[in-house]
Amino acid sequence: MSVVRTLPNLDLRIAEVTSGLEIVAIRRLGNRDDALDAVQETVARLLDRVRAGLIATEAEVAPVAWGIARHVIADMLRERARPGGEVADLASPRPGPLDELVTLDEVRRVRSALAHLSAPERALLHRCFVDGERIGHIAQALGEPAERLRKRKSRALQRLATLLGAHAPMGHGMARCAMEEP
Amino acid sequence: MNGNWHESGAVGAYVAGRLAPDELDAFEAHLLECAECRANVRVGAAARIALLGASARQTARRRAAVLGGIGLAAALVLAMVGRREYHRISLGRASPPVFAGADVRSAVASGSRAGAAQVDLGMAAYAAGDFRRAAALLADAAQADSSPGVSFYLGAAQLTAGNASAALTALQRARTPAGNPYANDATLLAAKALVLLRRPDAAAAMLRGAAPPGAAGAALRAFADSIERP
Repeated sequence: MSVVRTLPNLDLRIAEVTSGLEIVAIRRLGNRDDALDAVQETVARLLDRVRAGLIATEAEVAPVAWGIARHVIADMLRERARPGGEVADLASPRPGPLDELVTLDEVRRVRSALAHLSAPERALLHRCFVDGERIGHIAQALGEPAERLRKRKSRALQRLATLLGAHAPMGHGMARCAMEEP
Repeated sequence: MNGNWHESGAVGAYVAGRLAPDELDAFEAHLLECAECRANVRVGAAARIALLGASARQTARRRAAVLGGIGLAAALVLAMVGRREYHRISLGRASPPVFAGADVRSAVASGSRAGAAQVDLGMAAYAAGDFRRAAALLADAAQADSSPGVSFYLGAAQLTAGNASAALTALQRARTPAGNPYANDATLLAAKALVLLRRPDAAAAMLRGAAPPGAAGAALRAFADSIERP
């Protein structure tokens, strides 16, 4: 029996961390191609550790993957001669690296879905995802309870997700690309 | 920590690039273990692009409505102060140039899917305010499709990005055939490009030559007047 199969739910854990690694790698590296390389390298090294018996439980998969990914990404950035793992400034309202996480079709679908939200819901999403304000700060500015705003935001995101197809997976399925049997 | 991330709205701050440096590592580690936050990051990233595009259109409408009252001369002055404002100041009319993808796609002559996809990418960048990227993408698209719609937004993107010379070439293409939906708008923007290239006489001559009689040509003649006024 392959050592890879001794960890329960390994495939599921790998898929989960790969999905998260895709986001992190795109933000830190700034483009999908490099992010795909980083994710594949990270998963390959992760599987090596599993085969070597260095990961005992499935609960360790995510933290170990995180540690590997940081080194892989830092190495890639050093190769690019960018100092200190510097990442693009995403605070600008112009498009940033995370925009490569979504496809044009997904943006179009979300744009259509936004039209079905109420004006207060759209305004709240704008403050959260464009201005990057925290709920507490928005609550203070609007004079509304934070819990109410949390629920409004949660409802708005759920409605967007429903209109997009009930949490239908977005992105390009890097999980499938990264997972390969030895 | 899970509860804190969810309650504090860290996802929005992360997508907007405003998460504090000391929180970034911890939040990204959390992403590897939280399906809800991953899903919200993806939806949020798409919503951010869509909302940025909507904000740009709203600002364009408000500014164009104000400038319609002030007049094209003032619009030109303001435009020269801030190149980035070009597309928002637009043409001094109540309606700014429509840059929803569907409208440009309808002008695409070629039926190639690859070409249409390139136009879509360019228009998404335009709508999101990344004019350099939009110019590069639309320039590629224009190699296969030089229809007025593509040429117009290519010129508008190039003008906003500060390349008046390249913009003029694209906008001149967008002016033909005469009477196409983009011709008048392209003439106005081409005139702006000529002014920026220190050729006001050419701008005024082009405007007067292109202005149809009556109310339809009023904007072009008004712009020409403002250029020639000492």
